Amino acid sequence: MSFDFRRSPAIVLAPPMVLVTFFFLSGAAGGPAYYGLSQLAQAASAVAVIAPICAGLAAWEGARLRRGGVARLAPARCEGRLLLRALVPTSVAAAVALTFGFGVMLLSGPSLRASDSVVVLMAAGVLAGHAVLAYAAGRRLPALMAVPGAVVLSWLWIVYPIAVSPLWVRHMTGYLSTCCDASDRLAPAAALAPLLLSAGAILASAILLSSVAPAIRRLAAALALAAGFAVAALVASGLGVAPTVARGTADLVCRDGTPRVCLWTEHRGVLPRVQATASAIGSRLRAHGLTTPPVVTEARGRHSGAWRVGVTPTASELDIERILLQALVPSLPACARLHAYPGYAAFGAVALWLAELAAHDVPPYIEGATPEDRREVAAVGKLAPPAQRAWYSENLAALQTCERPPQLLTVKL
Amino acid sequence: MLGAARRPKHNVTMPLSLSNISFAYARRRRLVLDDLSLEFADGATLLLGPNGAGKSTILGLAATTLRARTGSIHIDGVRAAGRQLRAYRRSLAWMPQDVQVVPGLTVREQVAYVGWLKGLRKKDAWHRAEGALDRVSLSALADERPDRLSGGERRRLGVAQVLVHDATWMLMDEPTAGLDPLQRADFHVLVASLRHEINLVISTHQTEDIDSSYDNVVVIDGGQIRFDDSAAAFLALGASQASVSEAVIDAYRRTIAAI
Repeated sequence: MSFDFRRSPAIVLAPPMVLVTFFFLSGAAGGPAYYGLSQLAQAASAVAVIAPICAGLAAWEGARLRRGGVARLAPARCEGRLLLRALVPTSVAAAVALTFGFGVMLLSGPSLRASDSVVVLMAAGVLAGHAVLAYAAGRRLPALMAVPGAVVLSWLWIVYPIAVSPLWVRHMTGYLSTCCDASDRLAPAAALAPLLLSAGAILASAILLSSVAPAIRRLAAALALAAGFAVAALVASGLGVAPTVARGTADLVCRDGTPRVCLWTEHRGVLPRVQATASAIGSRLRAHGLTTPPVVTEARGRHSGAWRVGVTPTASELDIERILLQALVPSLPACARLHAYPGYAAFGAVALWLAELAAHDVPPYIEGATPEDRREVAAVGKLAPPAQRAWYSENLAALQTCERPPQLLTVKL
Repeated sequence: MLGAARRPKHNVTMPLSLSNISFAYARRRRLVLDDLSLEFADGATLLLGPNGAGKSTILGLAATTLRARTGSIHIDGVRAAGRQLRAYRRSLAWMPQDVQVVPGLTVREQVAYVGWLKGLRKKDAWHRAEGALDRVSLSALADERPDRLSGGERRRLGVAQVLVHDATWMLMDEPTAGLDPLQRADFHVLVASLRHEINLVISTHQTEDIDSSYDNVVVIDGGQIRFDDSAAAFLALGASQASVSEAVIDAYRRTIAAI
């Protein structure tokens, strides 16, 4: 019957929902446009605006049936059928907004894998959880309480956990704004936790809609919601700031040579240039008695001693050279987050020294290099090659630990 | 049990029976019904009793919108609980005292929606809503919003809602409350036309509602059955009176006074 749609505010609110989704995604941080998973995750983060609207609409539909005294008409259909029918317009509006969001973010045509669909499933699950719980609230509470309550609580649940500690709480909401770099995959726990929580919410709703005595059903519904939260928390508790895990090496495209270069499949276009530049840098460094790692790779994790880089498909020659040189300088050790890190004083000087030694054209800007670093490198340049290598080894070691001070010629620590 | 002669039940084909029912409203200890058993016979039954007698409770229990503490309710062996609840509800049409409507729906949509609630397919519900509205002379108002209907029209909407699906029993709680005499007369004409198609139980506390449209009368007071027999037997209680209306009032007084 057409009146399901004609009488629903979901149809009126669908275009504004799409508009809000568009504005939300316009302001999103955005990940690599060529990485399908990242774009899907960004689009899915629109649940932050779609879910509260859906919750409000669902609460309204529930409250309509409550005002219509549907339960007092002794329906021969189960509550699930009533819910499904009442939420058809809301579901359609949500699907339109979400599809629009996915469409916008996938306009650049990134490649997608079948496993990426888990993001779509998770977003749909999150929306279902919010809508079903809001509908149940609408069936039990007056519209004046249920509708604003559903909108505000739905919004708070998605945006507030980002501001709280522990960090993993944010990964139970389904808000994937920090997923994913090209080196990342969505952590299975980050997809599963919001779905488990939604399952708890749907179970709680089923109990709320049942004909069990009010006191018992309220208690049972609260327990179901708490159980869903507990299981979801158990799953998400291993996650850190980002809801990601390292991407598997199966997605790497490799090119043999010296060095062997392995880049993500999306970056295959720059593979020859990366290899040529890495080879040139390696040659120059070998001429000075230094060695470079035999493998250049974008994979994180397992390749200890690998030349770990992160490129983009549009990187210029200068970019590639800078990225490769920068990758030869160790990144901050984990201890630097919590303890004093004296080795940092050598960071700019080491980077600058390597650039002057191995770059085709020394870039005008080296990350972390200060005028003091330039003076230090100038002083090092006056040393004999073995002394320069010793300076490099000494300071390279200092960069990798928090206990060892650097050995600088011009800077007194 | 009062009444000169027990009504013969040999004609019952689809009995609606309440067996050993006990019921109390939430947060109230006092039982409104205590081990009550009652069987409604085929035809049109008037459930008569003063305000607060338990009429609405009995109908609410039979309609399954209230849940008994003990006892069971059946229509033709189909129990109003568990897996048979939906089948039971399909065979029963229920019109509560106040006819509520889902906000936003038109009269036609409301009737069709109730048909769907009672298990009809959408298409069938839509189609049959037209017939039900026609039956209660509301077709002209089918596209109106129900909140614009008069009290009498709203009652007719309630009747259309119970006519839209294939029920074997129709329960109406105080359907004539708030109706003017003309509307009440129209309602009785409607009941007279329905009594040969569907089994009816209509509750009222207004003795003037009793007329020849009804086959049976059940009088209830204080949660107890005071009379359960044919309408003729009920009227016979007041046979000494000059008019039918006086006979009804007299019979009613006798059944209540005999407590």
